[in-house]
Amino acid sequence: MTVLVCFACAFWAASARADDVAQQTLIARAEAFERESDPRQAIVAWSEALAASPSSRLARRCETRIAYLEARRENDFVPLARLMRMRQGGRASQTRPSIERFEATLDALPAGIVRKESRMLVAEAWMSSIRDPRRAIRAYRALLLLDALEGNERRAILSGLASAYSALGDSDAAVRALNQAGLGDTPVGATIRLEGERRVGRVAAYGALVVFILLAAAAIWRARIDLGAVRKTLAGPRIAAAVFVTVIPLVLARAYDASATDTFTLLGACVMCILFVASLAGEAFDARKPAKAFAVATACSAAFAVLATGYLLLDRAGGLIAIGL
Amino acid sequence: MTLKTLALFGLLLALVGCEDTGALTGTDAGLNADAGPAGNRQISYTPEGCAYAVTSPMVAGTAMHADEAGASPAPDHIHVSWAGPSNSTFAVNWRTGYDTMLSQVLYGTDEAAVASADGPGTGVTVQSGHSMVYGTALTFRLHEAHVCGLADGTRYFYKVGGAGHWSEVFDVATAPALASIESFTFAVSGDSRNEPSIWAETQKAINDHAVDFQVFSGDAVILGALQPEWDSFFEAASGDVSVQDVIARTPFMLANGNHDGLATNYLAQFALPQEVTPGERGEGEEWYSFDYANAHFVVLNDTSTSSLIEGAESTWLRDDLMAVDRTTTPWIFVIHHVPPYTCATAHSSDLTLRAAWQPIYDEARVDFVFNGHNHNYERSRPIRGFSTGGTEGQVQATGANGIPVNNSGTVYVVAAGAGAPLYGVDPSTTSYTHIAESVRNYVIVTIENRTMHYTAYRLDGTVLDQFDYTK
Repeated sequence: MTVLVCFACAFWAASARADDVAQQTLIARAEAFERESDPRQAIVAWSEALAASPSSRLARRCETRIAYLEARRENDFVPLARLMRMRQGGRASQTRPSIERFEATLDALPAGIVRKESRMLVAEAWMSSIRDPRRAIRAYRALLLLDALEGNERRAILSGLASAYSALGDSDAAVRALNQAGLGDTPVGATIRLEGERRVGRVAAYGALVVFILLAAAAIWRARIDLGAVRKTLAGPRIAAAVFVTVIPLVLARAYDASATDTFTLLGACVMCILFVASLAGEAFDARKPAKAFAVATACSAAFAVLATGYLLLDRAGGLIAIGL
Repeated sequence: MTLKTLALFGLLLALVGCEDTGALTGTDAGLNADAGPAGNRQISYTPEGCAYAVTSPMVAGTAMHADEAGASPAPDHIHVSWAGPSNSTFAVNWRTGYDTMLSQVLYGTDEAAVASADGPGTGVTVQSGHSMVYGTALTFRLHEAHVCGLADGTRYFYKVGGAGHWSEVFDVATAPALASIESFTFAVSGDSRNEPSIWAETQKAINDHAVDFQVFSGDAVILGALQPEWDSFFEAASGDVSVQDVIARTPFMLANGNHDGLATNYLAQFALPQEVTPGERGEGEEWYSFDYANAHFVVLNDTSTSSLIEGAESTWLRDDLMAVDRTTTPWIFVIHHVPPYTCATAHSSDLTLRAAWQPIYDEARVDFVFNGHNHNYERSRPIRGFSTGGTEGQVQATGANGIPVNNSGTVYVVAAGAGAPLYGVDPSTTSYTHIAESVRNYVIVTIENRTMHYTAYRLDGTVLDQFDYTK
């Protein structure tokens, strides 16, 4: 009796393993059909694979792929096959003529997942592969007209739209799109906003630096500070201290993230200028002209405060890394 | 002058520090909290039927399962992983309200039987686990249970909670027998921090491939010690698919990233292999390895001190890799966060890691190293050894589409940006980059005996990189 039970168990185990092997062969075939963009054959192979061993560890993969393909059955899989070919071809196949041809077929598609995913591919291709933001905006707008967009899809479309507007330099439209998507307060929104702010900030930062240098130069000229004071200001220990407070943060920031270099180069340049003026005033005026020394010290402190506030604001907006100068 | 200099330096350091990595020096968040009915701050036990011990991180309080439902017993954040052999175990973590002590998993191979059961019975088995509380608010409780002694290559159905308060039913499959040549598929992604909607889209896309398991190269969240960040990570959803739907069915094996900081939250919410080696932190979860069929996976922490990276971790790595029998386990994959080889315009290649670990990868003939940290996609040509007297990797024989020839070298892949802002790439600056693109991406790998089918996808579904490699 025991021998019979053992024999039955062994037979059952062997047949179960044979089913698993058959299932794996069918799964490999189904995956090959998918790579060949043949969803009609793929769904048959997935179904056969599931039937071969419905309770195996791979059953869920079969069920998932069947459900995925079934949900995209529009027009007997013809649009899906076309979409799969576009996806399989990757960016290299996304030329202007091929995307225009593909896009032209989309209006005739029935409503469904394939139409939505195809339009998304087209919009992404115009934006990322062909880098034509105007066509991308048209494509994203066409997507927004579709029914049955899920929350994340609408957000993704509006985020793409914002990127396209931003690429065209229209920050206001970009921010409007982000606010519409509820992404105004997210890092994506901050990034887009920063791009706009950076354009203004870049000019303002350089402008402020130039004005400060000019004012300092004029003050030095009017105060008739002699070259001796300038030479003393540029003495070794002061240079070393200035390098310490400007170059070391730059090195640290660069070690953390190379894209922080430009941000901290500007910070270092500003700090260096302020330190120079402060030191020069200290040498030139010292105890003989305390009112002037006090005025310059106050101006330099204010300049540091403005600089620190500016950088803290920049950090709060998430733009400390890569200010984009 | 000195004081002014120091003050300025302090200000500038503070500005640099505003982009802190989030790394923590301790793992004891919430130690000041009142443990209340929670019990001991650390728990260690061997789950019934398991051949390994489980030790919790040091938290505000721990407890074994008890029949106390509390006010909010509904489980959420359910996800599975492996702390033991992938072909005979699985571990599951979940969250409930603070006063819920129900830490059980009910499982079996019959979905209907598991769904209808309120306790163990015919074809349905129960396993009890433990729970942990941490943080200052103490509004939630994390549960963990380990199921062992399972049959290989089998689909199990399970639900978590306790009598009268079970979750919905999920399914998880054990791996084929170790060294089996049965085919399997896994997904690779990384750096989900910042944007939960993109993370959800990534998981939805991975879900469509119904992979056997996932590996994740770190930086799940912006700051590992902030629980709301983790809540967003688990609760992100895209349409009718939530992250929980995916990782409650697909074992999720992750590496610690610089933003995760090996925080208590990271250690408490994921059950990972805990074989503690000297010098290792996180009760053994800092670095680990596991086998799946005929492949060996190593997960490393590269954001600790250089003495640990070059010392204890390297020693363990070498011992672990040298113990792999390459006749039955032809594939070795390594996962860690920071890339030793990259062409990104943000973080440059980490030369410390390259010097410490590449010689070991070379000696063990590691096949692929998967990294994150730079939010983009990159794949190197096969690399083995260094240029004479230099630190630059030596590019080895390269076949069509940049793949190795006869296991000529290790391929380094960066597959990240599943939520974090994208970084630029500049392949012209390196001799080793085969392909690079600044794009949202994930990778799907299928192993069929000695053949690898590799496809990297953009989030819009287009193929980014694809090859077959047979060794």
